[in-house]
Amino acid sequence: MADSDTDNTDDGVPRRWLIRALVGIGFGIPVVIEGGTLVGLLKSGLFGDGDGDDAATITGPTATTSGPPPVGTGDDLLAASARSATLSDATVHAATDGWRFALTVAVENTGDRPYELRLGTVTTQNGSRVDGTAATDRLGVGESATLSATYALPDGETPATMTIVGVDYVDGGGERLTRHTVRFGNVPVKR
Amino acid sequence: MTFIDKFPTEAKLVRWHFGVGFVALAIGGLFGLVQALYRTGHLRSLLPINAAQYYTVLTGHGVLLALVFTTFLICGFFVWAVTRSLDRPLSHPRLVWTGFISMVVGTTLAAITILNGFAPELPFGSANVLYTFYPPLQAHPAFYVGAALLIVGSWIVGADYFLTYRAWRADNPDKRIPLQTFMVLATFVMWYLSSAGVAVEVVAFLIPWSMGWISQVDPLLTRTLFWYFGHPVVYFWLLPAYLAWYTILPKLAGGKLFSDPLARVVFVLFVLLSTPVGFHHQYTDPGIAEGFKFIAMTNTFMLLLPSLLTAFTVVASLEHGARQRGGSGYIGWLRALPWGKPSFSAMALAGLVFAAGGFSGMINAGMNINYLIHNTIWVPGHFHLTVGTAFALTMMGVAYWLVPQITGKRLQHRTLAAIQPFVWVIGMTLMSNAMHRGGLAGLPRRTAKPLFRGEGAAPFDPVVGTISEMQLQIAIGGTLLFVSLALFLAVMVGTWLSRPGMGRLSVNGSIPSALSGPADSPRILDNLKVWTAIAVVLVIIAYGLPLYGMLADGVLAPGSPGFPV
Amino acid sequence: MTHVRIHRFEKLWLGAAFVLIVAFIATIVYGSLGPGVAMVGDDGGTVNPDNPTAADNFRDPGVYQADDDSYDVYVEARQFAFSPGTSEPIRVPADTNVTFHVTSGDVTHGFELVGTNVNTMVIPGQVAQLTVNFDEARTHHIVCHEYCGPAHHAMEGSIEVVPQSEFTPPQQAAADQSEVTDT
Repeated sequence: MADSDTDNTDDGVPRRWLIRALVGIGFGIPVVIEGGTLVGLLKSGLFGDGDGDDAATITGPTATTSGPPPVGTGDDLLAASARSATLSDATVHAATDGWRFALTVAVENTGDRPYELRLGTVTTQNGSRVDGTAATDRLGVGESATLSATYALPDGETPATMTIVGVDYVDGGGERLTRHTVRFGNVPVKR
Repeated sequence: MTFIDKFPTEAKLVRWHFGVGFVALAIGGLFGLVQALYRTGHLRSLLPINAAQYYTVLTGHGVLLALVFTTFLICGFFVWAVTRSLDRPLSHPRLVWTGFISMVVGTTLAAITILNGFAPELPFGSANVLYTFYPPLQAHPAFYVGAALLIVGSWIVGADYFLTYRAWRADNPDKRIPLQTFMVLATFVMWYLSSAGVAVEVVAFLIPWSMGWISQVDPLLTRTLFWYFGHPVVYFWLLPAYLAWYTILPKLAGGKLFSDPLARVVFVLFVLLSTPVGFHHQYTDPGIAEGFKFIAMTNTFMLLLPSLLTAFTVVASLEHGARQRGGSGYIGWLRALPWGKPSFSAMALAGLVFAAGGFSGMINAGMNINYLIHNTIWVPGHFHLTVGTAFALTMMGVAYWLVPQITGKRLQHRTLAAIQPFVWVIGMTLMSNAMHRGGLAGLPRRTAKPLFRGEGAAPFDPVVGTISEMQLQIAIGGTLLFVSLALFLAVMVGTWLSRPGMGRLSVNGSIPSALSGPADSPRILDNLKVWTAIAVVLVIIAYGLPLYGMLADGVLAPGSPGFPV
Repeated sequence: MTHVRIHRFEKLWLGAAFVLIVAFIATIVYGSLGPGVAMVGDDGGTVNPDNPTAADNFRDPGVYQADDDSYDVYVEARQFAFSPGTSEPIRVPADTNVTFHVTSGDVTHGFELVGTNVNTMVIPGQVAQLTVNFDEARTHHIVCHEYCGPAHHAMEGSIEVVPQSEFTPPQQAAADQSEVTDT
């Protein structure tokens, strides 16, 4: 008949098997994927407690993280030690010529020895590392200082952690270094 | 007689429209692959973009595929449909060329501004505004001028469909409008009515504002004008696919269309209801009363009717075709369909996927259910089933069948072509399934990196699966889609470059008449003037008061200055 | 005279389609009138986008107590932070009516509590208003879900819902706005 195309005249046996395989997986994979989702939804709806919280148990390793609690503006970076270093400002500036992470830390030597604080490497959420060099002067007991630092981040990245090093000047001219890793909470990104 | 021999001028027009559309498809598709990998974090470090440029890629993907690829394919496809079904050449082919050139110039302008995101040394300035270009994010004026030229170009092309129809009518005063021409005209009535909204937005507000002639625009008003166009545009994509499913697919299946009158009823319903629904994209917008959103929702749900009717008619036509081919049984007839014929399998699979997209669309349309998924990745999961498959894969099927007829060349790489639609469907299933699940967990759309910083624990709490598993599924799905797209383009390029006369064409352009013909239906169905008038009234009911409310406090107020991106 | 002949199965299908449509609309109406699913309307009013917090229908960003068991939270979104919400969490008590008033000082943003239906666009010049009753003390994450510029993906915040017994009413509850600092 004139109105039927003659596409199939060259169908050989291998081609027929190819088509069967295509139809098989072309329908099979969607049925498996969507069926699996349906079963998952039904399970969660029928056997879960209904509000989805039970699913938290299957969210895998991303759901739980160990380590210190994240810090934000106003928090003490050295909460675990005798010294105090308050994060007074932390902002990422998304400028057209690059992203910069600027932070200000108010350091107070509440210990009983001279002290110095150094801000070290910032690691971004993507794992890029940016070194820093900012450090306070040697602070006598009871002295305080304000430390500001700026890190040039790769475009589009935000800080995740920062290492800070505390330096205790022990009697007799020696130094004792203590390394902390600070985990940032929400650092606002601004234009 | 092949289309190219009978209508050489028109065949050339279709070729050029398809050609430009396929170039847009290739670039836009590549951008899609980059997005799928970057966003999900797979191979991110190998990609030559940073997070800010993700939005350049996203803008290019949306504009090139949703606006450029679709518009060129539709305008070209409709040239064929009008010419073939009226069986006469276009009345003013030069008009169509004018529209085509306007669309090409517009696309070029917009593309240059988008590519500025990668190469600031290009002329003009950047336009990282995504394809919805919501003010007060501001693009370079060339982007808006380009968008306007694209829309206006399609209007000019469309004008010749009507002029050609008028010439045909003068010679055939008593005949029913041939079905394909009826569908084309109905689609373009809807398109003129709805794209006027975005034209006003761009020409009256965004161009003067980006040029600095006016200092501010009202973000809610311009958003509303955008969505006045932004939902009907999905029917501008969908109705050509319907045209293919109603008129080409049954023939490819070996049968005939079930009912011509019901096809007309379906298109009339789309003319009436496509436009007064835009507020369903603004359910979560402040500044629009809930009553107006409710009207839009009711109209949206009524639009289920023509789509469900289409599902019935298309499946019935396929079954008829399969039984003509010797198929039998309740389900067994499905085996008798020509799944190895890429034009058939592409269209049929697109139709099946559209059914799934329709169901997720019903969730979107529910005024309060929508709050759970609004602007989550559920939404792109939905529209990759509709425009990304129902339209795109159908047009690939159309191309497998039509490109030989407009080039006079036999389809090449037929095995690749046979594989391609299935790879597309598998890739789309993987990607879209994970996007829907992620959306239910609150994963946002339109972000370079969706995961939370700081807090340590990702706050997303999926009901089924894990976020990292979904990300992987999206990356694999997106990669398969790109592979499928590459197969399609290889077949097209191979066919285009092959020498003519390499074997007899294995397709013919004849389309059998419907089992139930147009003579059975009332003539009023063909009276597009009446339907247009009713459509305008429905638009006034849905939009009159809310637009008045937005304009009453000042056309430009509350107004925002521009924020260039 | 002609009429469209419709197959019996098609009539059945058509009827089922109508039932489906009516059922959908009915569920939405029920959701609004029965459980009272809150939606965003136009009752937030408009503000001047250049300086939204100066408007009569807006206040300095922060948490305010309206009466015994209802609170107002005024949030200003700007590229790329919520104020309050990003630098410091928004703290509200559980089992009270918390009305969010959200607007933007620059471009269009989104405001969504992840995994819930607390979700609104934040459009310059408009105040989105929605009332929420948190029945559980927990942290909710706020995400900006509308593209707002090159650092859009970094725009997020949090809400800490605390038991009523542990909630300290904000100092500015006595309508003294001067103590609120605009971050």
